[in-house]
Amino acid sequence: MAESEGDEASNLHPKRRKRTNSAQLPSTSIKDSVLMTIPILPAELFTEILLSLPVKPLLKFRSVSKSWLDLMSTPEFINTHLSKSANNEDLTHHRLMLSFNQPKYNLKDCSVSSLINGSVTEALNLEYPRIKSRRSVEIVGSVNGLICLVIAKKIFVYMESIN
Amino acid sequence: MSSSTKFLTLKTCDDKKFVLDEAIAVRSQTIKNMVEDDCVSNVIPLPNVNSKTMTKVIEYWKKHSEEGVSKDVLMDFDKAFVKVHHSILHALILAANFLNDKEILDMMCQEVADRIKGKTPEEIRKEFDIKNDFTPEEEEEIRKENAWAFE
Repeated sequence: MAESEGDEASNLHPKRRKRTNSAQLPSTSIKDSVLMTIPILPAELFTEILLSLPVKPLLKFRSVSKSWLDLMSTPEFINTHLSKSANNEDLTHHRLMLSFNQPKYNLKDCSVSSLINGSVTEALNLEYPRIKSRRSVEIVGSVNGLICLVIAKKIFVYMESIN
Repeated sequence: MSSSTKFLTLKTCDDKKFVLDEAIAVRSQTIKNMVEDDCVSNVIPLPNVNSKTMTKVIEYWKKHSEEGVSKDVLMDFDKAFVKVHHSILHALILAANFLNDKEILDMMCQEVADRIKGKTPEEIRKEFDIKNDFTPEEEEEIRKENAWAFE
């Protein structure tokens, strides 16, 4: 039985499986095993774990297997991941972006949670297309992590990488 | 309150019994539904939760049901709570899923995510026994597309 569950866990299917009947899962008898066998998680719970990952490791794990790639490519997964990050109460993934024109034109960002909870917040320089060094950079707006910038009368779409 | 306190008996798969205040046990949506549907007899069987895991779950429920506990104390408790061996972590995820306790489930899934996020795809395959079904060319292609994530 443990083997059949193993197959399921390693073959995440892009379409969400029907909820696995928990009663069919192998019961986990830890104390009986000297080696502390690790209970195998069904696909739906793997999805939950992957949904808890930040964007960067998520992209890195696209090359784990075809089933992981398929799962992460579904609109359902992407939307759920986005709303989970956006609605995070601790604001872990929220960044504040600032445009400077003194002492030179620059774009920086910092963590919102550290602004609220931390004693010191560090703002980091962001890489952006510097067409001419003496051109201001204007933040027009943002949606779902895509930021619209105007630099020297040109419009740029900037994607913030979330670590 | 003491006069109206009702107790439930939970029986784990290894035949251990836990007597618990109903008000605490209904943190499990599964148990709550059973209580509301009035289908609770003397003992509630938990066929896929073992006693070791259930002890941890009850420890969490009790702490989070205590009155007058500050947010900081609970945060420290949670931090210590998730510091367990891999096998217990997975067992808790399965138990939280069966008991339908979203709070524990989310916390445990986040912990697994935090533990694996720094790993390479190869390490992930090894850890979860996943077969690499890409051809070397396909894998290279996907890695290239997401090259910045490997920095």
